[in-house]
Amino acid sequence: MKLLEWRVRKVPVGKISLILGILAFVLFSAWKIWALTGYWSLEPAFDSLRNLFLILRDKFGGPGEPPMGLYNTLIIVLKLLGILVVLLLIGAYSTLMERKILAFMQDRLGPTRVGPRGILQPIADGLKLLQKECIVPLGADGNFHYLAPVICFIPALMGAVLIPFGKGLMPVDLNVGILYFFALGAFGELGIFLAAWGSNNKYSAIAGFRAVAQLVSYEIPMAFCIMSIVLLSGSLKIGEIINAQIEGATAYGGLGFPIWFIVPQFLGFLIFFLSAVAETNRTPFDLAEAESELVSGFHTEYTGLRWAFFFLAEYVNIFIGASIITAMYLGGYAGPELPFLGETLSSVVWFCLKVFSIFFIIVWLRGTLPRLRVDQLMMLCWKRLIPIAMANFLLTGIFVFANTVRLTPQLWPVHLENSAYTSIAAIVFILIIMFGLAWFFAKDLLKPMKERDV
Amino acid sequence: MQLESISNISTVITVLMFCVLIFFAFVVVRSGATGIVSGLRLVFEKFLRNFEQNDTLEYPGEDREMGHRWKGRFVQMIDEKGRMRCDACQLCAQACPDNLIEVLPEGKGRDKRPRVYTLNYAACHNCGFCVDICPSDAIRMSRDFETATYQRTDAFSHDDNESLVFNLEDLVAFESSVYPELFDSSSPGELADSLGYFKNKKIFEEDSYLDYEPMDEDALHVVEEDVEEIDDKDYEIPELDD
Amino acid sequence: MSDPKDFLTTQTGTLLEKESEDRFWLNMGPQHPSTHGVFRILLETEGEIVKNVVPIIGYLHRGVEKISENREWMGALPLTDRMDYLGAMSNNMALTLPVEELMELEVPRRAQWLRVLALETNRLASHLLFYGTLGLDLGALTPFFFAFRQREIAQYLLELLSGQRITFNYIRYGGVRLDITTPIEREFRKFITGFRPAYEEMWNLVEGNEIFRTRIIGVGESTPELLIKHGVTGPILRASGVKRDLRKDRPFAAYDEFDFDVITHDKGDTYSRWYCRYKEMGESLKIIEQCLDGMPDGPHIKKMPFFFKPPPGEIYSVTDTPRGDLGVYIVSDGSRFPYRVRYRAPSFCNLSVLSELLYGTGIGDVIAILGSFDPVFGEVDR
Repeated sequence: MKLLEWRVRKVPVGKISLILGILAFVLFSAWKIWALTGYWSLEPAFDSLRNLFLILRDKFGGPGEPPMGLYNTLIIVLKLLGILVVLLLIGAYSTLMERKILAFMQDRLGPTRVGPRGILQPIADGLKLLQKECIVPLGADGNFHYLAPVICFIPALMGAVLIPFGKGLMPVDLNVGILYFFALGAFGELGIFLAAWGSNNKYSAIAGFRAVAQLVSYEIPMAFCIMSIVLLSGSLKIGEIINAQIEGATAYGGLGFPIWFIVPQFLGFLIFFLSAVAETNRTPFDLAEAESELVSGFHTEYTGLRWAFFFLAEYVNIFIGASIITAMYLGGYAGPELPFLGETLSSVVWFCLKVFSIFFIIVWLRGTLPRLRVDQLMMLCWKRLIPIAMANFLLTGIFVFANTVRLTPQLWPVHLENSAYTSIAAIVFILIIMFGLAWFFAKDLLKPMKERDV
Repeated sequence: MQLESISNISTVITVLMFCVLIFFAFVVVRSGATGIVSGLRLVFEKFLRNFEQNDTLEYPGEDREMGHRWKGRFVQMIDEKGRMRCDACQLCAQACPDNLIEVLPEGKGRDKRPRVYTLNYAACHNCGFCVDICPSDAIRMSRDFETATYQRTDAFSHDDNESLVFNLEDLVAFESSVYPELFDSSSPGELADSLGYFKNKKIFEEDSYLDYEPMDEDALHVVEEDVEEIDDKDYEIPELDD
Repeated sequence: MSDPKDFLTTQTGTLLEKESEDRFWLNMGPQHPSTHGVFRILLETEGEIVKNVVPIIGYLHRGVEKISENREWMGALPLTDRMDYLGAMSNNMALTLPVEELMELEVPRRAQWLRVLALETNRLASHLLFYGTLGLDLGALTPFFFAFRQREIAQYLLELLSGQRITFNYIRYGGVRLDITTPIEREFRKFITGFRPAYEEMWNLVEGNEIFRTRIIGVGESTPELLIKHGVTGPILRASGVKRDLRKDRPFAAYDEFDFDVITHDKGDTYSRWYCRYKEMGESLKIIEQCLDGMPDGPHIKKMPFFFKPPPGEIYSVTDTPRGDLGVYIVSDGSRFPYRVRYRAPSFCNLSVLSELLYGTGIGDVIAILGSFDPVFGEVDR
């Protein structure tokens, strides 16, 4: 008889350490070789590329006023196309990555048939969705039903301009960077609600109500975390935020030394991470598309390419959320220069590694945790996350204030003068407020689960 | 204090802030996230384990070998010389709960063979009673479960090419491909004998296990005098206001 | 077709206004990812809170009892497999008990032990499915795969024993169809050693997880009086504290020779039902181990012909299935066809208490409660 294997094995520590050891050895030797070959890198290629663009700009370029020069137009078009292609590919392949990671967590293999190891699966999915019949339910509000996927998808694409792919590789470094991302998150909610309402279906309507409540609520902790980061780094621009983590910002009395913001803002990181997961409707917060309860939630009535829009919008949103998290907390593209790759490419590699690890954690959460009920979700947001986020913001503000304002011995605030009393007063003030707040809401949390309201 | 000490103070403040935020984190974690973390760790271990060993059988590529007792497709067995064991005793036709088997014999004595043997495979639900009762071990359930075909006509019987009423031609298979080693029997009819399903090869009417008096036919009829008449006038259907 | 809403009775005795603008009817139709089969339930909800429940069954009615009247006694056995298709061994057992009692058959001891082995493996498989689908209903994808990995092995063992994975047709009148051999026993033992760590993993995945706990603790609480009033049996009743298990109270098939506990829990909420079924899995494993260790020698069936005529009479017998008490009432008129076979399906009676429990809960809780009841609609509708 053919026997099935049913021993449940633990992590193969020996094998993993062997692989890590070999990897470390390979990296070390690569680094040594790189030193020996005079730190040869691919950076000059990027420099020549930049020079090429400068030459083109001198020839064809002109300022941005209309009629715009040929160069400017071309650059804009190229950037748009690049973003579109890259983003759609990322959206499609992140579905494959998620399916494979989920499958491995569940003792199975995921897509394996299409292409080697299932690499062409997203293309097959895309083609399949393209040729499906788009059914519009009877009684559906035509305009809403048509517009909803569009309104959901456009902010996802628009958010791509913020992503710091690497050093000098941001499409546009907006001066209101983080605020733009925040506004786009709000824009996407409208699409979900239109889909829910325009489907003429009670299930979708329920899902839409839940979704709107959830999305609007979870923007608040996100806003507080963003504000704390802005205080620490001194600017809304994403490039400046990443710079503050690499070189240390001194604007408005920031930290003054380089550190990834996850360290001073660890709680902010957790809160922002949870809010980002909630904003993109991922498990454990996915009651808007809860498969087991409401069939498919707000996109029950969508087929074919319209559903593909919702689907892609979700994954592109995850990607954008992950990149904002890395930009704000994990140092963006910061990382030591890798051998042979040059500054730009290694920054891209570091960025991708960080984004992938955040993505992995998001998928990991989906694979492990069940869904939260609607009232538990709202309770989590309003009773737990918002107080902590507010406390975090308050503390950051106090800290930043303490670094800029000095009190004279007469306890009069004077800007930018030195005094020992100030700092001590700030420390004492922080501690009092801290413990007060902790006492106020944390005593509820420390009780065992049966006693407190769930 | 001079400017140099500012950076020291900043460091102190940062460290303090960090400590206090760790305290907050402790509070949050203590509130019940530890169970979630251990669940996450369990799933991560599974994830890593699957790189080394995965239990998935990639089915159309790798075959699943069923157990020896698997009740698959019905076969009538013949040996390499083409000899059948079936001697048309019609017990399988009697045993089939849905009467899907039809057997018509020809010949007499040791040369008795089925002239017609059909099985309506469309309704067969693989209960295996026919196999259990066959005294000559002529039929088995093979281990074949892949009965789907690419063309409709391939699945139909050769007889009329439009129904699943299989005749002998469709049902025979070589004994070497089908005979499972399980029953450990060199004598035919071992299974039926072990279950005691037949005393001797007589059809049912002549053989009954226990003799009983048939039940009194009146005992099971409802006597009409015992039933109460329900007069509709006594029961008022209440009006529901719309 | 009459509108089910016309059959509305006030579920909890309070009068509701006929219609109100705050409430709307939500139909969790027969096709739904989470209703565990074809079950239609009409919920009148006020926002998220359920105020009225109209469950509608009958979508899987196949006329099992009527068909049994046209088949011989032997032929009625495969039909029972298809009623509660997740616990098919118990269904086979349920039909053989009254017939054996009627015919005063003495089943050999080895046959009874083999029956226990099959029944407990089947119970394990059924509870594993419950574990997996409860996780799926709550939104967690991984417990399903953990559970089904083990269930796959359990079904493989049952396939080695009986020849089929779901509808076994293994337990016959007088014993079982085929004996257990040494290779099969070895596979069983391997399963036991492999299942224990997975059993621990399944506990760790759910028990400490705060989200699971908040979803299932306190949801759908039931009192013993309510459950007994509606005739609920099985793990649902045990979860509210009533220590009733037919394997101990009315032992059948050699259960009195085994050493196992009856699991009860004090509150009757979803957590208690989950806990009872989870611990029952451990008990089943204990029983399987004891069974393999102490299997007596002897024949595996009391030889009986295929076509028989039991004496006329009527008997009611009850067995314990993973879902509750399955009762079979047979009337025999001395011919080789049953006159009447009536099945008292546990899921049918369990579902009658649903409307009481669902009042006042949210839609998410409806799914959790229905999942914790673990109904199988093959036996609700027969």
